[in-house]
Amino acid sequence: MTSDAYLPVEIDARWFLLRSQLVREVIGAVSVARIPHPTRRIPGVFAWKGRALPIIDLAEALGLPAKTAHRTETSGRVGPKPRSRTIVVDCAGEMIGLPVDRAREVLVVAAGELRPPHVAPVPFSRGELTLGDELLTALDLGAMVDELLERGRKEVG
Amino acid sequence: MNRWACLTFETSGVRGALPASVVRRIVSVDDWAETPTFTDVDFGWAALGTAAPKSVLLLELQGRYASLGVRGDLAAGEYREDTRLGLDSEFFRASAFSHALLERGAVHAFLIDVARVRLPDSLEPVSASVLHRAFR
Repeated sequence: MTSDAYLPVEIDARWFLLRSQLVREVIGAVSVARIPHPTRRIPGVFAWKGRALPIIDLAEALGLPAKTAHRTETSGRVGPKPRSRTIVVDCAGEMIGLPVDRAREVLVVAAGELRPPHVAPVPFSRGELTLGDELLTALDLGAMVDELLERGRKEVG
Repeated sequence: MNRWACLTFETSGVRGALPASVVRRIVSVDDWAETPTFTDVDFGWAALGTAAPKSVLLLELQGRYASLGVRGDLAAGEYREDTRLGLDSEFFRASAFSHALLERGAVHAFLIDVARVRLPDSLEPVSASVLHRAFR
């Protein structure tokens, strides 16, 4: 039976699974430089190994309830909620940073263990895994990046 | 190690940087005679011109003069090669507003890609008379 390795990450008290082969580094909180006309999904960039990488706010991209996402608003500007960890991933050639609250040890999940999303469906979900009392949602980051890029091209026109 | 002389500024809440070589003059907004010849530069993603500028940068870009209204928070300085972070993400390619992020401590500034700035056709080629009309 085939299996995949996943990095469990927590965002606003919900756990998600990121394919570990996409993960390049797990680092601490980063300083986000605001970009011109930021969006809630892509509020800015951060410095990583000689490059400036876009930050993607997963809470926004996944449409998590604002009640738990606690958007930061200062001086009328929208900023991402500060989070203690940043996951640097290489997804389809795009290096991006994903701020999360926590990350745990990599899990190896057999293909059959992932159930179709139905308990707590979110966009870009590949399936759900129940681990004890916890529900973990596996994410398709490639689909998310594709959609955000497409959305960005339309906005620029 | 290579060094770049840059002028950093804040406009519309974003810190930008321009190569010092393209900045011809910095004038108070009170001394600026706004004419149709001059216009805030469109940096591609969105024009960065601020609504209430304190100063105006007169820029020479692609053989023409353009202007950029900025807040008073101007700083000139040299940046070393290792403070220049590449901004090559596909997320920003369509906008082409910047190709690098300059880092000085916790302060970051987007280095404007002057070769790709889109200028309006109405801008006249650089000449002394054009420069003269820029000031009251």
